[in-house]
Amino acid sequence: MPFLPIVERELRVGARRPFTYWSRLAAAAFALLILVAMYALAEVSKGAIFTAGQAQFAVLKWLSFIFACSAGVFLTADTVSEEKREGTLGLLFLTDLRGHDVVLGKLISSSVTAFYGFLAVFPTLALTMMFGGVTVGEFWRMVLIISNTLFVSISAGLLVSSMSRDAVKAINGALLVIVLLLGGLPLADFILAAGDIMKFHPVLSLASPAYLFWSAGPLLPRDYWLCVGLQHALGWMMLIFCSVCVPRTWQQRTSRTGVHRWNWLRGGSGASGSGRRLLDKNPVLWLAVQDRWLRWLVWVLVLAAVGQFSWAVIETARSSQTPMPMGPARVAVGSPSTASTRTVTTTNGTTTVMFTTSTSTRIATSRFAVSTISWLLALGFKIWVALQACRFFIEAIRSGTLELILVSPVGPAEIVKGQARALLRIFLVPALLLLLMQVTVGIQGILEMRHSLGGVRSMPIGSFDIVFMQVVSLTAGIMNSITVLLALGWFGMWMGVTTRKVPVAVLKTVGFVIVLPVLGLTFASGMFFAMMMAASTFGRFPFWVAPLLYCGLNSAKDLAFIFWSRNQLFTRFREMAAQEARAVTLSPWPPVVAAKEAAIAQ
Amino acid sequence: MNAETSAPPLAPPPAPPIPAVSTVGLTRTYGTMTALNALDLTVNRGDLFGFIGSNGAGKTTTLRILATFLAPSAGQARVLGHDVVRDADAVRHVIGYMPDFFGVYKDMEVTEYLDFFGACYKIPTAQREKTVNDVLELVGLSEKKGALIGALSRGMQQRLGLARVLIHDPQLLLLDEPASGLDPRARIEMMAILQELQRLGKTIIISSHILSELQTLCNRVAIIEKGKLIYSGPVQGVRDQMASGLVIWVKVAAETDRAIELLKSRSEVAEVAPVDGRIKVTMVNHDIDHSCIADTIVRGGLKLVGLAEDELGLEEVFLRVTRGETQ
Repeated sequence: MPFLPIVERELRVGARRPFTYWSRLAAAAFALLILVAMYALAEVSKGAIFTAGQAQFAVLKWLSFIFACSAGVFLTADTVSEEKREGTLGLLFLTDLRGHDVVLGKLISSSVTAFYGFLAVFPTLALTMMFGGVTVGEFWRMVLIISNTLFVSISAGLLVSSMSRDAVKAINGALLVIVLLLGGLPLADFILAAGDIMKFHPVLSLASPAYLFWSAGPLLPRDYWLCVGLQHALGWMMLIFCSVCVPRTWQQRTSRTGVHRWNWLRGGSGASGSGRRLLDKNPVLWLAVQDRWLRWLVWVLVLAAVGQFSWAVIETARSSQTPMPMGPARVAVGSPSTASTRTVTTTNGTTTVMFTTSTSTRIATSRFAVSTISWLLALGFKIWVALQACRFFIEAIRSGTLELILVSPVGPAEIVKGQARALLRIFLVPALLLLLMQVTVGIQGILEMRHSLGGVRSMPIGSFDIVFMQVVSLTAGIMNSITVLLALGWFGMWMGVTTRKVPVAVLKTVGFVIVLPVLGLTFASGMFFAMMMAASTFGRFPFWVAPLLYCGLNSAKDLAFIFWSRNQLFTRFREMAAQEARAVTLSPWPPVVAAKEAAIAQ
Repeated sequence: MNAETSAPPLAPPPAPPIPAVSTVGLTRTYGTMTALNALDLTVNRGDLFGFIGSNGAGKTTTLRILATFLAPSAGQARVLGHDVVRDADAVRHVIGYMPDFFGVYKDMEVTEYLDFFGACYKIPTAQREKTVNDVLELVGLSEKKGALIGALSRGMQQRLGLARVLIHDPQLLLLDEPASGLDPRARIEMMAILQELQRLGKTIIISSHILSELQTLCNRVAIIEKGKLIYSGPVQGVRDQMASGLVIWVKVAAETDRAIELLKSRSEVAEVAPVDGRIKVTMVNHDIDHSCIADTIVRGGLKLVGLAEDELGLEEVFLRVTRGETQ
């Protein structure tokens, strides 16, 4: 028997998959695009915003880190679980194969794409050294951190996958484990330090890739290597645990008693009163809300958000009652709510405005922690919306249920409306709660700002009206939050009809609706600012124009996604659902590989 | 008023009955591959129609088009007079389609499953419970009402699939491999249910690889290969077409060689050959009266032990008609 036969099989499969080649090509092209864009920004602003090398390195390292962290969720979380559902894992264990054979095979197959992707970015990342501002040591430290994070993330995804059967549960589980590793461990240290950043002593954080990534620069070499070693060991431990788990969890445990063991976690039975009402309203709606556990999970998330929000409010109120040392601070545009201004001073008519702040380091830190957690919770909520939007159609197509529904009088329009209403049913109230929190935080920020400005109604320096900018930002932000959720829902549904795998569908949805537009818009707004600065027109435009423009374009993008997806769903649903072999829209092989294939064929 | 006008009007000739299924030039392509190639097919009402073909011959594609799930690339298909493209909603009300997979979430209960599809067919709530009970009774699953689908055996799941098909009392049933993967008992039970449904007036189109069962079950069959129709008609008709000459198996107590000599002298006999202690006699054509064989043996003073007509099975017919080519 060859050494690690599954690894060999998975590598062969990977080598035949066009995606393996396209993904690395796309990763390299994307990194190069970022490099060129950042260079253009630096050139246009004539170095006023940043220097090219450092900024390019910062952006690329962040993107690579996010990519490495998400690999576990989108590339490995549904690998072993998928084999369990398909029944192929059991066949493997009927042979002499052991758990580690399967786990290593899956590790190799899933990490090959991710590793190739990172490898493709690697030369571009190295190019930043030539632009200046990045040392060789910095570069190599970051390469090791990102590679290690990729390994830990993939191992975490495999571990969760080995314990799951359902794709959605596997993805959620992987997301939770990775978020805990990234944010949970530093948060635990922060809590142990009684919420005081000055007393923060990293213990658990040493195992967190986020901590290492964040503090790679100031860390001593000894601590750096300790972190890297610890995290690497953690990755191997997860793999060993996974190897032990897999042979014990592949068998399906179905109740043969005729009674559902977890009936209380499911939606209303078709035979019950509430179930009947839903069935009569729209059978697809009834089917789509069957798994009640997801709704529970969403509520847990929202309650966590409400909890941390309440804690933040109490903490702020408590801290503001104690006398604080005063000190000067420069207010960052776009985040004025993090500072509390007491006086406004103008120096020789320049546009630089100095504020004195009453915000202590402690409040600032806790606010930073709160805003990071809020951001993560909001991102988690958005991913869940995308997940639920995609997965219903993917599962319905895979199980054949959609085919059976489509040959009944229930038409595509009713099916789509049923799923849309199911999404509303699951996410509407939690989304409203989150929006309410966003509004509250925004209003609180505005009130604080008004109070800090000490009754200054109009600013003496042209149109630099921070309060008005905050109002505009808040309104536009809320509108953005609503439209992005709708866009994720509608585009996610379309991805569910056109994609076979849940993680890929979610990745496409989040990537197209959020990640790529955010990058594009950030670059565009950066260019806008840079050009304004270059043309010395910086102070002439009202400051609220920038957030308004940014949010307006964001909402326009969301509306475009909503209308396009709706149109596709209502006109091409049956055609796509009936299409058995869903061909990838890219041509099967990149030109070089195609030429090799042709040569082999000859 | 003349005699011509005063005479009672002639009764118009009765309109030909609308066939259950008729297709004209039905074609379906997937990219460059042609799955169905100008299929002309007619299935009469009340038929139990067997649809035979190798893997990839186009059976499932045909059934999916008739079920309105797939749109044809060219040609026309009508189900009980309704066009499957232009009048798809009407077609969906009169057909029951059972694909070759089960197609459901396995953690649903039996009644939930049927209730769901009852709702899909817009059966009123008040009527749905009774309908569910009736179809479960018909397929013999009344005792499994509250059971999880995942806990049912394969045979029971197939019967549940049949119950789903019957939930809205369709006139035409399209069954794709309904007996595949079933054990002999479950297969026999399934076939008995289908015969009962035919007796109740349903038209049934059934695609299957188990040809021995189709030949006893179906009154008409169609054979399809590489998307083209090769034969459509009664089962006996295809046998007759394929059989080049009637084959009779003869066994005598002794003197086999003499018996062969005697039989060779007959003008009705085309070929005589000994096979494993028996004599294989091929007549010159299929319609010939083979009593002359027994007569020749007995008159020759030999003791006739056995005589049997070799019936050409549907499987052999299928092998002769098709070349087993798949796409």
